[in-house]
Amino acid sequence: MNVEVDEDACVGAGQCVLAAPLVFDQREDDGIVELLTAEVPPSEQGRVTEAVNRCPAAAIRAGT
Amino acid sequence: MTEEIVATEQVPVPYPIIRTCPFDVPEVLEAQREQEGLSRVRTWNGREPWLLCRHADVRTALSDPVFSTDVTAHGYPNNAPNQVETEGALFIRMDGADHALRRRTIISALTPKQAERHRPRITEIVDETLDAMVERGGPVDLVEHFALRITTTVICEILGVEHATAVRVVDAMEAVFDLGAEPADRVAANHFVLDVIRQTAREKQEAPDDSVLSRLVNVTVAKGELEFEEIVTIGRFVIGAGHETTANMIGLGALALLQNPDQLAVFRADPTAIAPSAVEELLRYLSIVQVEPSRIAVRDTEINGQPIRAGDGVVMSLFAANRDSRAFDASGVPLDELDVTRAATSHHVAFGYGPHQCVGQNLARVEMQVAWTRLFQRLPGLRLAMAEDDLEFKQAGLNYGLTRLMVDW
Repeated sequence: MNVEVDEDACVGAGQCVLAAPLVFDQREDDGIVELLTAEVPPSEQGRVTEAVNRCPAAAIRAGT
Repeated sequence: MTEEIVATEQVPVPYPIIRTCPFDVPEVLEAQREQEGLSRVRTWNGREPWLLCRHADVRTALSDPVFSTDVTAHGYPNNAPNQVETEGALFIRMDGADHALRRRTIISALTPKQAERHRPRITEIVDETLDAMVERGGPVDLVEHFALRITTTVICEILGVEHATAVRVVDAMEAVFDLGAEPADRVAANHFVLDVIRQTAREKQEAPDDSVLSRLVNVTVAKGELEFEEIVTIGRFVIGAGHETTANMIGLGALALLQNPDQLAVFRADPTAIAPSAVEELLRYLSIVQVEPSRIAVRDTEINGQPIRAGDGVVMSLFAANRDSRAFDASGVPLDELDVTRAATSHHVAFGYGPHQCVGQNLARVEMQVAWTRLFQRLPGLRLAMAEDDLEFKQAGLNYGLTRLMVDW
Protein backbone atom coordinates (compact mmCIF):
# COMPACT_ATOMS: atom_id res chain seq x y z
CA MET A 1 0.00 0.00 0.00
CA ASN A 2 1.22 3.48 -0.94
CA VAL A 3 0.19 6.57 0.97
CA GLU A 4 0.34 10.25 0.09
CA VAL A 5 -0.58 13.32 2.15
CA ASP A 6 -1.63 16.81 1.08
CA GLU A 7 0.13 19.25 3.43
CA ASP A 8 -1.80 22.23 2.06
CA ALA A 9 -5.14 20.57 2.82
CA CYS A 10 -4.07 19.29 6.27
CA VAL A 11 -5.78 21.03 9.21
CA GLY A 12 -3.56 19.57 11.93
CA ALA A 13 -6.28 17.67 13.78
CA GLY A 14 -3.91 14.75 14.37
CA GLN A 15 -6.46 12.04 13.61
CA CYS A 16 -4.00 10.18 11.37
CA VAL A 17 -1.49 10.07 14.23
CA LEU A 18 -4.10 8.60 16.56
CA ALA A 19 -5.06 6.01 13.94
CA ALA A 20 -1.62 5.04 12.59
CA PRO A 21 1.23 6.50 14.66
CA LEU A 22 3.86 4.42 12.85
CA VAL A 23 2.94 5.99 9.51
CA PHE A 24 1.97 9.59 10.35
CA ASP A 25 3.40 12.34 12.52
CA GLN A 26 2.86 16.10 12.87
CA ARG A 27 5.34 18.96 12.54
CA GLU A 28 6.27 20.41 15.93
CA ASP A 29 5.72 24.06 15.01
CA ASP A 30 2.36 24.03 13.22
CA GLY A 31 0.89 20.54 13.59
CA ILE A 32 0.86 19.82 9.85
CA VAL A 33 1.11 16.16 8.81
CA GLU A 34 4.45 14.44 8.20
CA LEU A 35 4.69 11.08 6.51
CA LEU A 36 7.05 8.68 8.29
CA THR A 37 6.95 6.16 5.43
CA ALA A 38 5.36 6.17 1.99
CA GLU A 39 5.36 2.35 1.84
CA VAL A 40 2.84 1.00 4.31
CA PRO A 41 3.62 -2.48 5.66
CA PRO A 42 0.68 -4.94 5.58
CA SER A 43 0.38 -4.80 9.38
CA GLU A 44 -0.44 -1.07 9.23
CA GLN A 45 -2.86 -1.06 6.30
CA GLY A 46 -6.00 -1.28 8.43
CA ARG A 47 -4.80 1.64 10.53
CA VAL A 48 -4.02 3.71 7.43
CA THR A 49 -7.51 3.03 6.09
CA GLU A 50 -8.91 4.27 9.40
CA ALA A 51 -6.73 7.39 9.09
CA VAL A 52 -8.13 8.02 5.59
CA ASN A 53 -11.71 7.64 6.88
CA ARG A 54 -11.30 9.93 9.86
CA CYS A 55 -9.09 12.68 8.40
CA PRO A 56 -11.27 15.83 8.61
CA ALA A 57 -9.50 17.38 5.62
CA ALA A 58 -9.57 14.35 3.30
CA ALA A 59 -5.83 14.98 3.00
CA ILE A 60 -4.68 11.36 2.83
CA ARG A 61 -4.65 9.18 -0.29
CA ALA A 62 -3.90 5.48 0.08
CA GLY A 63 -3.82 2.86 -2.65
CA THR A 64 -2.03 -0.21 -3.87
CA MET B 1 -58.93 22.09 2.55
CA THR B 2 -56.26 20.61 0.36
CA GLU B 3 -54.48 23.94 0.24
CA GLU B 4 -54.56 24.18 4.01
CA ILE B 5 -53.01 20.74 4.43
CA VAL B 6 -50.26 21.51 1.94
CA ALA B 7 -49.57 24.81 3.67
CA THR B 8 -49.37 23.11 7.08
CA GLU B 9 -46.93 20.52 5.79
CA GLN B 10 -44.66 23.16 4.36
CA VAL B 11 -44.27 25.19 7.55
CA PRO B 12 -40.71 24.48 8.75
CA VAL B 13 -40.46 23.07 12.26
CA PRO B 14 -38.92 25.32 14.94
CA TYR B 15 -35.18 24.93 15.50
CA PRO B 16 -33.25 23.95 17.59
CA ILE B 17 -34.85 20.56 18.11
CA ILE B 18 -33.59 19.53 21.55
CA ARG B 19 -33.54 15.94 22.81
CA THR B 20 -36.10 15.04 25.45
CA CYS B 21 -34.24 11.86 26.44
CA PRO B 22 -30.46 12.20 26.96
CA PHE B 23 -29.68 9.11 24.90
CA ASP B 24 -32.30 9.23 22.13
CA VAL B 25 -32.23 11.26 18.93
CA PRO B 26 -35.52 13.22 18.60
CA GLU B 27 -37.88 11.53 16.14
CA VAL B 28 -38.07 14.64 13.95
CA LEU B 29 -34.32 14.50 13.39
CA GLU B 30 -34.38 10.76 12.71
CA ALA B 31 -37.16 11.25 10.17
CA GLN B 32 -35.17 14.00 8.47
CA ARG B 33 -32.16 11.73 8.28
CA GLU B 34 -34.07 8.83 6.75
CA GLN B 35 -36.24 10.76 4.28
CA GLU B 36 -35.27 11.73 0.74
CA GLY B 37 -33.94 15.25 0.20
CA LEU B 38 -33.70 18.04 2.73
CA SER B 39 -36.17 20.20 4.68
CA ARG B 40 -35.94 23.68 6.09
CA VAL B 41 -36.38 24.54 9.77
CA ARG B 42 -37.33 27.88 11.34
CA THR B 43 -35.01 29.64 13.80
CA TRP B 44 -35.85 32.15 16.58
CA ASN B 45 -35.73 35.14 14.19
CA GLY B 46 -37.67 33.58 11.35
CA ARG B 47 -34.69 32.45 9.26
CA GLU B 48 -35.22 29.16 7.47
CA PRO B 49 -31.97 27.22 7.06
CA TRP B 50 -31.75 23.71 5.65
CA LEU B 51 -31.41 20.96 8.24
CA LEU B 52 -28.74 18.29 7.66
CA CYS B 53 -28.94 15.02 9.59
CA ARG B 54 -27.03 12.55 7.41
CA HIS B 55 -23.36 11.86 8.18
CA ALA B 56 -22.26 12.45 4.58
CA ASP B 57 -24.23 15.69 4.25
CA VAL B 58 -22.84 17.04 7.52
CA ARG B 59 -19.30 16.24 6.35
CA THR B 60 -19.96 18.01 3.04
CA ALA B 61 -21.26 21.18 4.69
CA LEU B 62 -18.40 21.25 7.20
CA SER B 63 -15.62 20.76 4.64
CA ASP B 64 -16.72 22.35 1.34
CA PRO B 65 -15.40 25.95 1.16
CA VAL B 66 -18.69 26.98 -0.48
CA PHE B 67 -20.01 27.06 3.10
CA SER B 68 -18.87 29.90 5.37
CA THR B 69 -18.90 30.02 9.17
CA ASP B 70 -18.95 33.83 9.36
CA VAL B 71 -21.78 34.55 11.81
CA THR B 72 -21.73 38.24 10.82
CA ALA B 73 -22.77 37.43 7.23
CA HIS B 74 -26.17 38.74 6.16
CA GLY B 75 -28.71 35.95 6.46
CA TYR B 76 -26.56 33.72 8.69
CA PRO B 77 -28.70 31.28 10.74
CA ASN B 78 -27.54 32.76 14.07
CA ASN B 79 -28.27 30.62 17.12
CA ALA B 80 -29.16 33.60 19.37
CA PRO B 81 -29.65 37.39 19.12
CA ASN B 82 -26.11 38.16 20.26
CA GLN B 83 -24.08 35.48 18.50
CA VAL B 84 -22.35 38.24 16.53
CA GLU B 85 -21.22 39.97 19.77
CA THR B 86 -20.15 36.79 21.57
CA GLU B 87 -18.55 34.96 18.63
CA GLY B 88 -18.07 37.42 15.77
CA ALA B 89 -14.43 38.17 16.65
CA LEU B 90 -13.41 34.54 17.23
CA PHE B 91 -11.13 32.88 14.70
CA ILE B 92 -13.48 29.90 14.59
CA ARG B 93 -15.87 32.22 12.76
CA MET B 94 -13.33 32.98 10.03
CA ASP B 95 -12.86 31.04 6.82
CA GLY B 96 -9.98 29.88 4.67
CA ALA B 97 -6.45 31.26 5.13
CA ASP B 98 -7.44 33.75 7.86
CA HIS B 99 -8.79 30.90 9.95
CA ALA B 100 -5.90 28.51 9.18
CA LEU B 101 -3.28 31.07 10.29
CA ARG B 102 -4.93 31.45 13.69
CA ARG B 103 -5.73 27.77 14.16
CA ARG B 104 -2.08 26.91 13.60
CA THR B 105 -1.00 29.15 16.49
CA ILE B 106 -2.57 26.77 19.00
CA ILE B 107 -2.90 23.40 17.27
CA SER B 108 0.71 22.42 17.80
CA ALA B 109 0.09 22.54 21.57
CA LEU B 110 -2.90 20.22 21.24
CA THR B 111 -1.69 17.36 19.04
CA PRO B 112 -2.13 13.73 20.15
CA LYS B 113 1.54 13.67 21.20
CA GLN B 114 1.20 16.83 23.28
CA ALA B 115 -2.01 15.50 24.84
CA GLU B 116 -0.16 12.31 25.80
CA ARG B 117 2.58 14.42 27.34
CA HIS B 118 -0.09 15.88 29.65
CA ARG B 119 -1.49 12.45 30.63
CA PRO B 120 0.58 12.03 33.85
CA ARG B 121 -0.41 15.50 35.11
CA ILE B 122 -4.06 14.90 34.10
CA THR B 123 -4.00 11.62 36.06
CA GLU B 124 -2.64 13.51 39.07
CA ILE B 125 -5.39 16.13 38.78
CA VAL B 126 -8.08 13.44 38.49
CA ASP B 127 -6.73 11.58 41.53
CA GLU B 128 -6.49 14.76 43.62
CA THR B 129 -10.06 15.57 42.63
CA LEU B 130 -11.19 12.08 43.68
CA ASP B 131 -9.30 12.43 46.98
CA ALA B 132 -11.19 15.63 47.73
CA MET B 133 -14.48 14.02 46.73
CA VAL B 134 -13.90 11.02 49.00
CA GLU B 135 -12.87 13.26 51.87
CA ARG B 136 -16.02 15.30 51.40
CA GLY B 137 -18.10 12.12 51.50
CA GLY B 138 -21.16 11.22 49.47
CA PRO B 139 -23.56 12.03 48.14
CA VAL B 140 -21.79 14.61 45.96
CA ASP B 141 -22.53 16.32 42.67
CA LEU B 142 -20.24 14.66 40.15
CA VAL B 143 -20.61 17.57 37.71
CA GLU B 144 -19.39 20.24 40.13
CA HIS B 145 -16.97 18.24 42.27
CA PHE B 146 -15.45 16.01 39.59
CA ALA B 147 -16.10 16.81 35.94
CA LEU B 148 -15.87 20.62 35.97
CA ARG B 149 -13.07 20.66 38.53
CA ILE B 150 -10.91 18.43 36.34
CA THR B 151 -11.53 20.15 33.02
CA THR B 152 -11.15 23.64 34.47
CA THR B 153 -7.87 22.81 36.17
CA VAL B 154 -6.47 21.12 33.07
CA ILE B 155 -7.35 23.83 30.56
CA CYS B 156 -6.21 26.64 32.86
CA GLU B 157 -2.84 25.00 33.51
CA ILE B 158 -2.30 24.47 29.79
CA LEU B 159 -3.41 27.99 28.91
CA GLY B 160 -1.47 29.54 31.80
CA VAL B 161 -4.30 31.10 33.84
CA GLU B 162 -4.01 30.82 37.64
CA HIS B 163 -6.59 28.58 39.24
CA ALA B 164 -8.19 31.24 41.45
CA THR B 165 -8.71 33.44 38.40
CA ALA B 166 -9.92 30.48 36.39
CA VAL B 167 -12.78 29.78 38.78
CA ARG B 168 -14.22 33.26 38.19
CA VAL B 169 -13.74 32.89 34.45
CA VAL B 170 -15.57 29.57 34.46
CA ASP B 171 -18.53 31.13 36.29
CA ALA B 172 -18.70 33.86 33.67
CA MET B 173 -18.45 31.36 30.82
CA GLU B 174 -21.54 29.62 32.15
CA ALA B 175 -23.54 32.74 31.33
CA VAL B 176 -21.92 33.02 27.90
CA PHE B 177 -22.96 29.45 27.06
CA ASP B 178 -26.52 29.80 28.39
CA LEU B 179 -28.64 30.75 25.38
CA GLY B 180 -31.52 31.30 27.81
CA ALA B 181 -29.68 34.01 29.81
CA GLU B 182 -30.30 37.74 29.34
CA PRO B 183 -28.45 38.93 26.20
CA ALA B 184 -26.88 41.85 28.10
CA ASP B 185 -25.62 39.49 30.82
CA ARG B 186 -24.07 37.21 28.23
CA VAL B 187 -22.23 40.08 26.58
CA ALA B 188 -21.06 41.46 29.97
CA ALA B 189 -19.81 38.02 31.02
CA ASN B 190 -17.90 37.73 27.77
CA HIS B 191 -16.24 41.12 28.37
CA PHE B 192 -15.24 40.06 31.88
CA VAL B 193 -13.50 36.95 30.54
CA LEU B 194 -11.68 38.99 27.90
CA ASP B 195 -10.45 41.41 30.61
CA VAL B 196 -9.04 38.53 32.66
CA ILE B 197 -7.25 36.98 29.67
CA ARG B 198 -5.89 40.39 28.63
CA GLN B 199 -4.44 40.97 32.11
CA THR B 200 -2.95 37.45 32.25
CA ALA B 201 -1.42 37.86 28.78
CA ARG B 202 0.27 41.11 29.91
CA GLU B 203 1.71 39.26 32.90
CA LYS B 204 3.13 36.59 30.54
CA GLN B 205 4.90 39.33 28.58
CA GLU B 206 6.71 40.27 31.80
CA ALA B 207 7.25 36.69 32.96
CA PRO B 208 7.18 34.16 30.09
CA ASP B 209 6.56 30.46 30.82
CA ASP B 210 5.74 27.41 28.68
CA SER B 211 1.96 27.97 28.70
CA VAL B 212 -0.12 28.42 25.55
CA LEU B 213 -0.93 32.04 26.41
CA SER B 214 2.73 32.84 27.00
CA ARG B 215 3.66 31.34 23.63
CA LEU B 216 0.87 33.27 21.93
CA VAL B 217 1.97 36.59 23.38
CA ASN B 218 5.72 36.08 23.24
CA VAL B 219 5.99 34.26 19.91
CA THR B 220 2.88 34.85 17.78
CA VAL B 221 2.51 38.52 18.72
CA ALA B 222 6.25 39.12 18.91
CA LYS B 223 6.72 37.76 15.38
CA GLY B 224 3.97 40.06 14.17
CA GLU B 225 1.69 37.24 13.04
CA LEU B 226 -1.23 38.47 15.11
CA GLU B 227 -2.14 41.55 17.17
CA PHE B 228 -2.17 41.37 20.97
CA GLU B 229 -5.95 41.83 21.10
CA GLU B 230 -6.45 38.86 18.79
CA ILE B 231 -4.56 36.48 21.02
CA VAL B 232 -6.81 37.64 23.86
CA THR B 233 -9.84 36.36 21.95
CA ILE B 234 -7.98 33.14 21.16
CA GLY B 235 -7.25 32.68 24.89
CA ARG B 236 -10.91 33.33 25.70
CA PHE B 237 -11.90 30.79 23.09
CA VAL B 238 -9.53 28.11 24.46
CA ILE B 239 -10.83 28.48 28.00
CA GLY B 240 -14.44 28.56 26.85
CA ALA B 241 -14.21 25.61 24.50
CA GLY B 242 -11.95 23.64 26.79
CA HIS B 243 -13.83 23.14 30.02
CA GLU B 244 -17.63 22.94 29.72
CA THR B 245 -17.72 20.65 26.68
CA THR B 246 -15.45 18.00 28.17
CA ALA B 247 -17.12 18.31 31.60
CA ASN B 248 -20.51 17.69 29.99
CA MET B 249 -19.11 14.57 28.36
CA ILE B 250 -17.57 13.30 31.61
CA GLY B 251 -20.83 13.75 33.56
CA LEU B 252 -23.15 12.43 30.88
CA GLY B 253 -20.78 9.55 30.06
CA ALA B 254 -20.67 8.51 33.72
CA LEU B 255 -24.48 8.47 33.73
CA ALA B 256 -24.59 6.46 30.49
CA LEU B 257 -22.23 3.86 31.97
CA LEU B 258 -24.15 3.70 35.26
CA GLN B 259 -27.37 3.15 33.33
CA ASN B 260 -25.80 0.43 31.16
CA PRO B 261 -24.33 -1.90 33.82
CA ASP B 262 -23.32 -4.53 31.25
CA GLN B 263 -21.25 -1.92 29.40
CA LEU B 264 -19.81 -0.60 32.65
CA ALA B 265 -18.73 -4.17 33.52
CA VAL B 266 -16.95 -4.48 30.16
CA PHE B 267 -15.23 -1.12 30.71
CA ARG B 268 -14.23 -2.00 34.27
CA ALA B 269 -12.78 -5.38 33.30
CA ASP B 270 -9.86 -3.68 31.49
CA PRO B 271 -10.24 0.10 31.45
CA THR B 272 -6.76 0.80 30.07
CA ALA B 273 -7.45 -1.34 27.01
CA ILE B 274 -11.12 -0.35 26.56
CA ALA B 275 -10.90 3.39 27.32
CA PRO B 276 -9.90 4.56 23.81
CA SER B 277 -12.78 2.77 22.05
CA ALA B 278 -15.17 3.56 24.92
CA VAL B 279 -14.38 7.26 24.55
CA GLU B 280 -15.02 7.22 20.78
CA GLU B 281 -18.28 5.32 21.33
CA LEU B 282 -19.45 7.69 24.08
CA LEU B 283 -18.59 10.67 21.86
CA ARG B 284 -20.65 9.13 19.05
CA TYR B 285 -23.48 8.00 21.33
CA LEU B 286 -23.85 11.25 23.30
CA SER B 287 -22.89 13.85 20.65
CA ILE B 288 -23.29 16.72 23.09
CA VAL B 289 -22.84 19.57 20.61
CA GLN B 290 -26.40 20.70 19.88
CA VAL B 291 -27.89 23.78 18.13
CA GLU B 292 -24.61 24.18 16.22
CA PRO B 293 -22.91 23.64 13.83
CA SER B 294 -24.29 25.98 11.22
CA ARG B 295 -23.02 27.49 7.96
CA ILE B 296 -24.09 29.84 5.17
CA ALA B 297 -23.63 29.11 1.46
CA VAL B 298 -21.55 31.77 -0.29
CA ARG B 299 -22.30 30.40 -3.78
CA ASP B 300 -25.02 28.24 -5.28
CA THR B 301 -24.38 24.56 -4.59
CA GLU B 302 -26.29 21.40 -3.78
CA ILE B 303 -26.38 18.80 -1.05
CA ASN B 304 -27.83 15.38 -1.63
CA GLY B 305 -29.64 16.59 -4.75
CA GLN B 306 -31.15 19.62 -3.02
CA PRO B 307 -30.12 22.91 -4.64
CA ILE B 308 -28.79 25.32 -2.00
CA ARG B 309 -28.64 28.94 -3.10
CA ALA B 310 -26.03 31.52 -2.17
CA GLY B 311 -27.20 33.10 1.10
CA ASP B 312 -29.06 30.00 2.27
CA GLY B 313 -28.22 28.87 5.80
CA VAL B 314 -27.67 25.29 6.90
CA VAL B 315 -27.86 23.81 10.40
CA MET B 316 -26.72 20.32 11.34
CA SER B 317 -27.48 17.63 13.90
CA LEU B 318 -24.27 15.83 14.84
CA PHE B 319 -26.37 13.64 17.15
CA ALA B 320 -28.50 12.32 14.26
CA ALA B 321 -25.51 12.02 11.91
CA ASN B 322 -23.60 9.91 14.42
CA ARG B 323 -26.30 7.24 14.31
CA ASP B 324 -26.57 7.16 10.52
CA SER B 325 -26.51 3.51 9.41
CA ARG B 326 -25.13 4.63 6.03
CA ALA B 327 -21.94 5.68 7.82
CA PHE B 328 -21.55 3.13 10.63
CA ASP B 329 -21.81 -0.65 10.68
CA ALA B 330 -25.26 -1.34 12.10
CA SER B 331 -25.11 -5.13 11.71
CA GLY B 332 -24.12 -5.71 15.35
CA VAL B 333 -25.36 -3.81 18.39
CA PRO B 334 -27.89 -1.19 17.14
CA LEU B 335 -26.42 2.30 16.71
CA ASP B 336 -28.98 3.64 19.21
CA GLU B 337 -27.37 1.51 21.93
CA LEU B 338 -24.08 1.93 23.76
CA ASP B 339 -21.34 -0.57 22.88
CA VAL B 340 -18.02 0.41 24.45
CA THR B 341 -16.12 -2.10 22.32
CA ARG B 342 -17.74 -1.05 19.05
CA ALA B 343 -15.19 -1.04 16.21
CA ALA B 344 -14.78 1.52 13.43
CA THR B 345 -16.52 4.52 15.04
CA SER B 346 -13.65 7.00 15.00
CA HIS B 347 -14.97 8.75 11.88
CA HIS B 348 -17.90 10.10 13.94
CA VAL B 349 -18.56 13.82 13.73
CA ALA B 350 -18.90 14.53 17.48
CA PHE B 351 -15.92 16.91 17.15
CA GLY B 352 -17.18 18.23 13.81
CA TYR B 353 -15.31 17.78 10.54
CA GLY B 354 -13.33 19.86 8.08
CA PRO B 355 -10.95 22.75 8.77
CA HIS B 356 -12.83 23.70 11.95
CA GLN B 357 -12.83 20.26 13.56
CA CYS B 358 -12.37 20.66 17.34
CA VAL B 359 -8.88 21.91 18.05
CA GLY B 360 -8.92 20.48 21.60
CA GLN B 361 -10.20 17.01 20.75
CA ASN B 362 -6.98 15.16 21.56
CA LEU B 363 -6.72 16.75 24.99
CA ALA B 364 -10.42 16.04 25.62
CA ARG B 365 -9.90 12.37 24.71
CA VAL B 366 -7.12 11.94 27.27
CA GLU B 367 -9.16 13.77 29.94
CA MET B 368 -12.16 11.49 29.38
CA GLN B 369 -10.05 8.32 29.25
CA VAL B 370 -8.38 9.15 32.56
CA ALA B 371 -11.48 10.54 34.28
CA TRP B 372 -13.73 7.52 33.66
CA THR B 373 -10.93 5.01 34.24
CA ARG B 374 -9.92 6.44 37.61
CA LEU B 375 -13.51 7.19 38.69
CA PHE B 376 -14.69 3.59 38.29
CA GLN B 377 -11.41 2.09 39.56
CA ARG B 378 -11.31 4.18 42.71
CA LEU B 379 -15.04 4.05 43.45
CA PRO B 380 -16.21 0.58 42.37
CA GLY B 381 -19.50 1.03 44.23
CA LEU B 382 -20.38 4.29 42.42
CA ARG B 383 -24.13 4.69 42.04
CA LEU B 384 -26.77 7.31 41.34
CA ALA B 385 -27.89 9.11 44.52
CA MET B 386 -30.94 10.85 43.09
CA ALA B 387 -34.19 9.78 41.46
CA GLU B 388 -33.87 9.42 37.69
CA ASP B 389 -36.83 11.77 37.36
CA ASP B 390 -34.83 14.48 39.13
CA LEU B 391 -31.98 14.46 36.59
CA GLU B 392 -31.75 17.90 34.97
CA PHE B 393 -30.23 18.56 31.58
CA LYS B 394 -28.97 21.68 29.81
CA GLN B 395 -31.90 21.97 27.44
CA ALA B 396 -31.04 25.53 26.42
CA GLY B 397 -27.30 25.04 26.26
CA LEU B 398 -25.10 25.27 23.19
CA ASN B 399 -23.82 21.94 24.47
CA TYR B 400 -25.96 19.26 26.08
CA GLY B 401 -25.07 17.99 29.52
CA LEU B 402 -26.23 17.45 33.09
CA THR B 403 -26.69 20.42 35.41
CA ARG B 404 -25.89 18.09 38.32
CA LEU B 405 -25.40 14.39 38.95
CA MET B 406 -25.67 13.30 42.56
CA VAL B 407 -23.71 10.11 43.25
CA ASP B 408 -22.64 8.02 46.21
CA TRP B 409 -20.33 5.01 46.51
